[in-house]
Amino acid sequence: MFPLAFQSNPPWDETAEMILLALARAEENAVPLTRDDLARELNASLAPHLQSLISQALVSVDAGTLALTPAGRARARVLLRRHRVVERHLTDVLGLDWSRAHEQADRLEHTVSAEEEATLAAQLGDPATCPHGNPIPDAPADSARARETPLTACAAATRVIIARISRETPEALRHLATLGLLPEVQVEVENIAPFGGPVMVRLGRAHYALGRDLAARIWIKEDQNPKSQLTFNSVGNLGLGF
Amino acid sequence: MSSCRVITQHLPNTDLTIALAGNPNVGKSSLFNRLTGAHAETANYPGKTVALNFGVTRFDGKRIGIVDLPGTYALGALSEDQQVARQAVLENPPDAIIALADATNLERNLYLVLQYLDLGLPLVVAVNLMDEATRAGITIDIARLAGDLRVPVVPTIATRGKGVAELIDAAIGRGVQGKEVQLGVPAQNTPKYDSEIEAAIDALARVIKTAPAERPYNLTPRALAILLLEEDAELTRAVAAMPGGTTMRARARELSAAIEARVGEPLSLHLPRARHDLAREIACRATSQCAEREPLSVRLWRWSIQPLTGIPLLVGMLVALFAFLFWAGGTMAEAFAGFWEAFVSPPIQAIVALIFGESIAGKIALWGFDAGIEAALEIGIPYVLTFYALLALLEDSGYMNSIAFLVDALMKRLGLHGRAVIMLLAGAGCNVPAIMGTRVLTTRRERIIASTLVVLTPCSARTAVIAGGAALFAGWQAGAGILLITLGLIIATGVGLNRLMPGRSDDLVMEMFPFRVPTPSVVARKTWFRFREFILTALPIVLIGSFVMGALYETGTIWIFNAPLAPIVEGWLGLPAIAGLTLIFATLRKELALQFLLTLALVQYGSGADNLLSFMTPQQIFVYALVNTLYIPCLATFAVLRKELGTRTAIGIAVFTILLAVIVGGIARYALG
Repeated sequence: MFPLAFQSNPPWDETAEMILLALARAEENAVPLTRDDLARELNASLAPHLQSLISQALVSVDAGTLALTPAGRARARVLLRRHRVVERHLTDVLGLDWSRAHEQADRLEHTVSAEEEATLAAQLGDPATCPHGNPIPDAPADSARARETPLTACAAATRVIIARISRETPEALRHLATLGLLPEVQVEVENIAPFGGPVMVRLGRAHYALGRDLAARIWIKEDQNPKSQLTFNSVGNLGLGF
Repeated sequence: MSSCRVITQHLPNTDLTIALAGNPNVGKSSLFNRLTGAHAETANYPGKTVALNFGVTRFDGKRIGIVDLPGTYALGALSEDQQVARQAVLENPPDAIIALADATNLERNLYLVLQYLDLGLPLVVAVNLMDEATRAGITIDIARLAGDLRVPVVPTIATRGKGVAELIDAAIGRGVQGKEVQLGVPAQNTPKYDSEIEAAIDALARVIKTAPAERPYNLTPRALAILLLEEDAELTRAVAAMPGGTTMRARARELSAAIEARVGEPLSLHLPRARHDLAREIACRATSQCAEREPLSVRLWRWSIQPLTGIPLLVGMLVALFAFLFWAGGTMAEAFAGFWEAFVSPPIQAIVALIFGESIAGKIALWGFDAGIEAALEIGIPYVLTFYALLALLEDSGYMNSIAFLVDALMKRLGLHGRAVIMLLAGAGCNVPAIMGTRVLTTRRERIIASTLVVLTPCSARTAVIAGGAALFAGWQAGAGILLITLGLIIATGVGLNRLMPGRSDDLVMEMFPFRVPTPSVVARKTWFRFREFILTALPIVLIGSFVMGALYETGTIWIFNAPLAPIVEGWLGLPAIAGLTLIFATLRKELALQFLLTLALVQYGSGADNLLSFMTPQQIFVYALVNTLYIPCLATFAVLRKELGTRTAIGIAVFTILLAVIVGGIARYALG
């Protein structure tokens, strides 16, 4: 899946992979990255690794700002995909805290083979995003879950449908069910507190604040009929049963 | 199944018992207060931390016992308050249950109503907060709602007493009617779900009917079938123990699996979904709304949770709160001390002198009966009582939820969720009630983290030493420095405990509701019950501690602690040896540390030692106030820690704070040179 030359070409190592990942994320967020920014972010001395990446034509430097070359971008996408698949595995299967998944994945991703990654992704049902809501590169676009995003990745004032609630104990699921927070239920995202704070949703006439970790495990899909009312919709002859 | 008589025990000699049920924040407490007035008592449900309120009201010449159940969104075995709400009415069936529903949110509130009907209990529905509904442009068709639910429905505004008489009348009627209905005959008004679910309920109810054993709580076969299909933990356990129980459980699993194969979710989720759907249908039929209006209270509430407006509002609010607390508390404390010395102290001294004369025993008695009781009340009335009143106002207005929403991200890093911030705030008044407040946290892990952080939070007594000692003699920078160091240590301890302690803390799931004007009687009641609990916990400890310290001091025994403490106090912290003794005394009352220090200094160094600076440098005073702030606050706090978390954890927290105080104090000494 990826060129073996990278692995046999010294000095190839984790730091170089981290540099490519950092550049890929910066590109995703459209933030320019300088050598100093990078050194601060990775908290390591980079000179030899960066020099090697430049000499391999994976990274280019323009007036102090670093950028990925097309070859570098292709390589970084593979790494980014691996990192985010590993994160999903950590939260969805192993039950690790959403907030800790990132640093754990940083540690593990370098040892995961392409084959292992493909198996993990298949087991997870080819997820489209990482637990934090960032897209997983090269996820199959037609998978059922591809269109699902976590509640945390929603913008405020959008109306969405809960698709599923992942990795909750049966008790927690039943507790949410008593509040009406169930799959296929329509909610409106009202407010997302900054700095990793809770997400406030409206369900009918009730407002609930949901902690960020929980919200990250509530997967939502687009409302196909966004004009429909949350309550009091088309009450016709319902034939109440008593 | 053991039956406990908690209701009859608290409500003897009544003609009728009515239970009040409903979601949180629907005005249950307002209705309870209106019905029972001041004659009410609160008791914990046996073996639980959840409290029930009991009271008696008179209506039409009848004595009616009222039980106020905990406010819950549902009935079930999922949380302690839900369990208590259900167990209380099943173990000791009241003659009628009044279920309060919020007129502005019928849909969500009817879920609980339907659960009560599923249990086959005699119900009357009060649609409360009708005034708020009117303001929001909502009208409720009461007759239609009553027709759909097939129970009496009464519109009410509990805060103003509107509709309350009609409500009680309906509940009495229901109670009388209920008594005529033969036991075991299923009530006529149980809700009906879709045919697939009904078929499963009927199939299981048939199996239950043929079982030879008595059903738990004498539930109807239908009610028990629903609970088993919902996989209710408590009833599933109870059924497992009865003859024929295994067959019932196997059948329930089989029926649930058959439905799951068709609809893709187990009945434990599918039934709640169906109940929500039914609640929505009924609510929609009864509710109509003209143009949606957003009253000012809702707009204010929205500002309070938007970071841009909410955070400045929160900071301003906290500054105002503590400024008021210290100003009002300080003024009241001074007035109280003056009152005590002028009117209470002299008679106590006279009585003690009459009994013990001028003996050492007399002096020891004065330590307890005079200074001890004064101490508890002097902190209790001005600071704790004021704080509780402010806290109740914050809670009942709904602003507490806005605060929890804004600080959840920060608290999360300390291993707690947003709602725990309330305890840290309370801890700044007095640690004792704050630690009691940690009961609302669900996991033991959260309770231990919260209690440890509360213990590190300087209460008003410790702030008094920081202000009156460090800031006065070593400059305001010293006082601010101590507060900043303490804040840093609280955050570091929280982050550290969160990383070290196994498990994880619960996520926030909290209803947010717009601001509401608090009901004075509810605020007063809440304040009084919390204050009473504080006094009952703190007073005996302070009293006993005062006698012991008095005996140590008056007999001169205290000085023998000087030598063993010297290596730490003199060697490591660089303080005069007597400072160590005062730190022992200060476990009675932290704010007395300074006073003890001056008293002992007079004994040790003779007159002229009445100024701290005559025998301590500003640096020493800083270290002293810092250590005094950090180590285990006082005996009352230790006692409440022990009561809430057990002896081992309490000792653990105490030892941790003592070590922390000694280490940080030593570092401060060497850092200051």
